[in-house]
Amino acid sequence: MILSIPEGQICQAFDPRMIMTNEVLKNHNAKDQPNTSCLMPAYVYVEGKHGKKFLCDTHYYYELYMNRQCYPAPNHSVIEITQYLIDETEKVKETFAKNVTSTETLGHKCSLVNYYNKGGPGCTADALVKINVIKLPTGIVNFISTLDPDNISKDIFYCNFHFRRTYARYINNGVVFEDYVKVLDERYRMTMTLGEEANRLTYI
Amino acid sequence: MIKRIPENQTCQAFDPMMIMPEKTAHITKFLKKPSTSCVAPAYVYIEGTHGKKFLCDYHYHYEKFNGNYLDYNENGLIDKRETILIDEREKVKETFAKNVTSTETLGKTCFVRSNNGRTTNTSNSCIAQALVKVTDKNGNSDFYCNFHFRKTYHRYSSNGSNYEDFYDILDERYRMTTTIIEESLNLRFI
Repeated sequence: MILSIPEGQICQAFDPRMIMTNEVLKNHNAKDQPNTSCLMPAYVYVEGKHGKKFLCDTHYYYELYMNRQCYPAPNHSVIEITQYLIDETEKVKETFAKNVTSTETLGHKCSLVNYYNKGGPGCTADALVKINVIKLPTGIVNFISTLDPDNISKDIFYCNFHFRRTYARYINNGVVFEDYVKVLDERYRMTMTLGEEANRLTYI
Repeated sequence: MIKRIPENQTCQAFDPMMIMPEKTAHITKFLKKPSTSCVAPAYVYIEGTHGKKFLCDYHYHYEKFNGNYLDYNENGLIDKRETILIDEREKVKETFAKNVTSTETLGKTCFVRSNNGRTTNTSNSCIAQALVKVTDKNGNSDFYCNFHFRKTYHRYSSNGSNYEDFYDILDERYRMTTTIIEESLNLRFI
């Protein structure tokens, strides 16, 4: 019986959202399809109707969110997909930048727009991270959907959840995020738990 | 240690692609938010990079196909790192209709293509031999190979709907000459 997340354990999600059409790959000048696996550290272990797996915070909350939003197939409610759960997501806070006192993200909202329903509600969470793209990695899909190609260094704001998701997508495809993006991490200001933040997401 | 697929075991896939309108446009006429779970019978059990789970024939092939297709990073290649512990996909044939002798699907190919049939680009379409004919209540018919018929059929059941309420099914899969695994390996489009 698994009682804690083993050290070095990575996420076991299979993420078919990463499968892009040939048109998208061409538009991004991407040579390869993005990785459908996830290399981020696992913070959750779950057993239930979706099998037994370790998940990172992003993929765990994504799965919960989708199950709440969608029609639950018979016996596939959130309770039934998390029949046994180890949740160490609060440990994500150990990755937040230390000794930061700036407040540049104060008053800003997460910049995530609604990709699937243009004009629909995007993420309305308070921003806690500001990024400025220095240069774009070549040969892979650009995962920053709100990036202005004519002004790539423009400020982009993220909540913790969407920053971690964006960060993970680059890491999962072999890109050292910090080599391409300047990050101002003000998540020391985060007052919610990871679970509370995820429960309040208006868009994922 | 799991040694066989338990009776009545259903697929444990989490399938977020169901939120994409083009994946469920044909069934969302009666559903607002399609399910991201699958209730199809499981025929495969795997352990490995993507956890431990039972999968139906469609979701197993979908995950495997995309792992192969990516060829980017070892972590994306479930062939290399997933261990298929149990593969009972040939039992799918037990679900084929019995005592059928008609040949209406002969000479037809599966109609499934990208964008839910809207594209005319044949490189994004299934070219497998049709084995199932379905006819809607207006008399319009479509043809499916076994793989895509099962995929479509179970998409309805996973969303709480009965496929037979919408379509009459002529199941001529008795004509299938390949194994289930051979059929999946020959798929050009899923």
